[in-house]
Amino acid sequence: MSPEFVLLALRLAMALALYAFLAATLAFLWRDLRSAALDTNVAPQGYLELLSLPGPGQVFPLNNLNLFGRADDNTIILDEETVSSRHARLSYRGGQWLLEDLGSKNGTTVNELTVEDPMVVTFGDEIRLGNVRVILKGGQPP
Amino acid sequence: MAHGRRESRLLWMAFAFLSLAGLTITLATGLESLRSVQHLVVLPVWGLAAWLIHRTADRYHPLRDPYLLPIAMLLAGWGLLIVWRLSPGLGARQTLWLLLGAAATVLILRGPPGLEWLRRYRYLWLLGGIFLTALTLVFGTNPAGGEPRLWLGCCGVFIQPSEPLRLLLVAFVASYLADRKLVGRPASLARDSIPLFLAVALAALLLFAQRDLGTATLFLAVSAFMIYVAYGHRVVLIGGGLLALLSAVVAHQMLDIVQVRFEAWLSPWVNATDSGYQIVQSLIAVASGGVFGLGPGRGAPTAVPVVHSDFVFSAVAEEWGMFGALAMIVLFALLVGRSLRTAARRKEPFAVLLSAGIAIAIGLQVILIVGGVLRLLPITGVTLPFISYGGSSLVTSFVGLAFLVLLSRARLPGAGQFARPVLHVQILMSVAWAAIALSLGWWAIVRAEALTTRTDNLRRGLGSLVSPRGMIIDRNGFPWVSTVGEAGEYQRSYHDPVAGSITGYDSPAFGQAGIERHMDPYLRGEIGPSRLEIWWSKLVYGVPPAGSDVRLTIDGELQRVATKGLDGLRGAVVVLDAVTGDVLASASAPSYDPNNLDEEWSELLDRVDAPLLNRVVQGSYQPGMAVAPLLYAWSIAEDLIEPGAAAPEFSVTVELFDHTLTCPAAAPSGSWSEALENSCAGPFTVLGERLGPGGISQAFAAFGLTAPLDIRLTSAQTQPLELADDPESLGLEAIGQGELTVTPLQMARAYAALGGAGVRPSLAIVDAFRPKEGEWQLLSPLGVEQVVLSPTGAQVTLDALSTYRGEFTGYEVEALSGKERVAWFIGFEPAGRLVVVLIEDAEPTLARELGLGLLELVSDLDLAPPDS
Repeated sequence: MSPEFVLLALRLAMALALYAFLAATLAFLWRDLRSAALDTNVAPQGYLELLSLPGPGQVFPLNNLNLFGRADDNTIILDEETVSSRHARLSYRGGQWLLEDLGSKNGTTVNELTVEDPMVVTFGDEIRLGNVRVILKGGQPP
Repeated sequence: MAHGRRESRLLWMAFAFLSLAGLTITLATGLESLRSVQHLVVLPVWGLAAWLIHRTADRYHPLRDPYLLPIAMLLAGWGLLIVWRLSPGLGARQTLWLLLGAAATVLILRGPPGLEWLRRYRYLWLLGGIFLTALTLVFGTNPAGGEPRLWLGCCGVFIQPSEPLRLLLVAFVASYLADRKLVGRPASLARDSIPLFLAVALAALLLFAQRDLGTATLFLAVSAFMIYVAYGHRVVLIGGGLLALLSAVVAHQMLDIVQVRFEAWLSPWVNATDSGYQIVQSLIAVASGGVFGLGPGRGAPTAVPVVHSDFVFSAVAEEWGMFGALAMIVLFALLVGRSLRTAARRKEPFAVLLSAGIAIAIGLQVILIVGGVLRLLPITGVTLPFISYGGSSLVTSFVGLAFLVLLSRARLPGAGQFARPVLHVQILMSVAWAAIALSLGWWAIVRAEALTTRTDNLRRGLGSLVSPRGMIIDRNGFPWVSTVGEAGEYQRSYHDPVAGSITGYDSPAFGQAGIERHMDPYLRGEIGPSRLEIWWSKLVYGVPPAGSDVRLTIDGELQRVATKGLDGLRGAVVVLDAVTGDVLASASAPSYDPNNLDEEWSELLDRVDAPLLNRVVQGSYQPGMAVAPLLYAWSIAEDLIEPGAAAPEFSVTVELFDHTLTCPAAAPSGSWSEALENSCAGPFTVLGERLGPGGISQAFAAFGLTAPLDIRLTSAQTQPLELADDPESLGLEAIGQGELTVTPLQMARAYAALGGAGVRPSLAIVDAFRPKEGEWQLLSPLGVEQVVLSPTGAQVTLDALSTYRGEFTGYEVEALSGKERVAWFIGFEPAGRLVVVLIEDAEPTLARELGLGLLELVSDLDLAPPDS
């Protein structure tokens, strides 16, 4: 191998290293961009189905932020006497559904676990607010 | 932390690149001396600096932008290698400055994250910067000596206060505008910006006084952009642009330096030796780099003045090629883009304005100087951040980087309140990057060939030291010019000085002439070898492959006799084969020895007898009665005259200046053929009137007297002949004393139509080339044969000419060129070869004796066609 070819090989390697640096930077940036797009805190489509009174079978589409209670300014109004006027909050944050009890009188449970601190819930979980039972489901409301 | 990992991974990649680049330079400079390894000290120093900054950043600012540091460090390391490669002395200093910059970065990163110290004491900082800059008005020096005096120096260390001042001004503007924003009253652009404007104007005026126009321009532009970011009024940008235009016009009127730079920018090619020298050399460097570059350590970037500072980008383009230079632009664009992104995302006005300001300052600086180097903009003397040599510039760049890293720490979702104007700035910058990339491609690809073949491209001379130039050999295979010496020290050797006027010279100092010039692409290996071979050689060695040999049609023996015959005279001799058009000898006197150009150049240039002129193809002479045989043949063919018919005005004399042209024939009257044989001027003046301007022009054109020489040598320009339509002018034209002037070779080509049975041949002086280790390949003639006369018409004319020594036909005349006489002799030998002799200021007999001697020689010579 003549020195000229070693030199050429070195130059090639050098150019590759330079462009590898650029490619890696751009790849990282692209990944950032994609995860940022996924991370916009937009809830996937889902709905709540009532399993008990006040209207079994009734469905409510979910938003990013859902407030449950008897009062009129809730997003999901549950007119039942064991439900407090501001009962609980279900919100989508950081790719997860979080359920919080807002200090209701009769409490909130998820799959029979009492919600004290904010709790992560997923589709298929059964939630009880007072005596009202609902189920969290993914996809389009029927 | 994912960020820290990304950063360290990128830093390792940068280190890999720098190591490979360092090794490449080592190998390219030949591994012989300290010079080829000393720049490798960059690698440990860079590694240390990168490690320190990275560790500090990881500890204090875990949420920082992970791209800023690796990009900036890559640029700084690259710049350091370039400075070492351009000038090891400066490289050592710059290495220390890099360490200092890294230390400053570490300090700032460990300091309070709100940069309160910078913000609260803004007036103090700004005044400090202005004060230091003002000091240069009094105590300023220039480390290189001379003007401008922008530096403060002590004990061998120099700083340029205008560099930190730039950053301090950005901080001041950011802090000032942020306070106005925080007060919460409705923003009023006019009221807010007056004090600001005063501060900026003061700084700018100071720099104007120091003739540091580049930095002043940068100040004003950065301030305008920052005000735009703060207020979002487009009027700021438009107004700023108009103001910049106005001040450019005013400065052009008032300041010489601005005028000179504009001149150099608009028309560098005509000023290529003085005011445009730097920019032209810079563009040649970019063009020499081409797409792949000559390779680090392989180019000649120091051909560009102050390449280590303002013009460092042309060195990058030359040695790393368009690919490398483009990568550098992308790196700068990423650095600026990421910093602007910080600005767009932050909500605190000071953080937004400071990071935007620093980003804009870096971006504009790069655009100004790279644009200048690529002739997109006039030259503004600013440095290329992180790359150019200059301690103050490097440390300032690092401090700016520290601020950017520190401010980039928060990654809040969503956009800040200044996102819109920042986005607009980002778009403007992107347009500028695109323009730079395009003009890079323009010079490195489209214009590359035109620029690299310029004679003021110093790399051509350097290339012929490394890659052997082809030989120039005569028709019998004897080398006249060859390349001698070892690779790296090749020299041109001219074995036979008698050929100087044909071969010319190839000299790094004095340029090229003759065959050396005209056949340069063949001799230099640019034409001949296959395209692939040329491309490969340029890629690997940075020069074209070994050049091809070229073969002349000249016969060495004839050439020697011809040259010897002209010894002590001024004149020219051509021996031409009338049938093939081969030039067999071509001598011009006085001539020169191409081996001695170094000693004799200025004398050769100054001598009134012009030895550098090849009279055979470049000397223009009155033909005199030498055109008579041609017009005679033409007129017979056109049925205007008959050889045996009586010629009018046979013995009438013609007065010319203080000469009288008489008819030497004994009889007072005679035929046309007798008039021709005796060179009687009277009948031919009448013939001129008969032919008229159209006829004379047609005849001259047919014999090629007004056509350029179809030959591979730089020949005299021909101008279209404009003939007046009055009897006197036409008469003079017909005896060769009018407008027409000819070169001896044109004369030979015209007479070849008589000797070659009416056909004017196409000329050749170079007939073939031979690539290294290849076969001879014939070159096609540049012209085409022309039928001028019928064979009998040609013979009738030859019969009317004089006969010498029983076997040669010839014609001798005297022509008047102003006060000077020139003697022509044209002679034929039976085999159809002809000799043209022209001697300035001499008797025709002298020309005749020389011509007849050559005819004797040429008729005895058995000329084989050149061996193929």
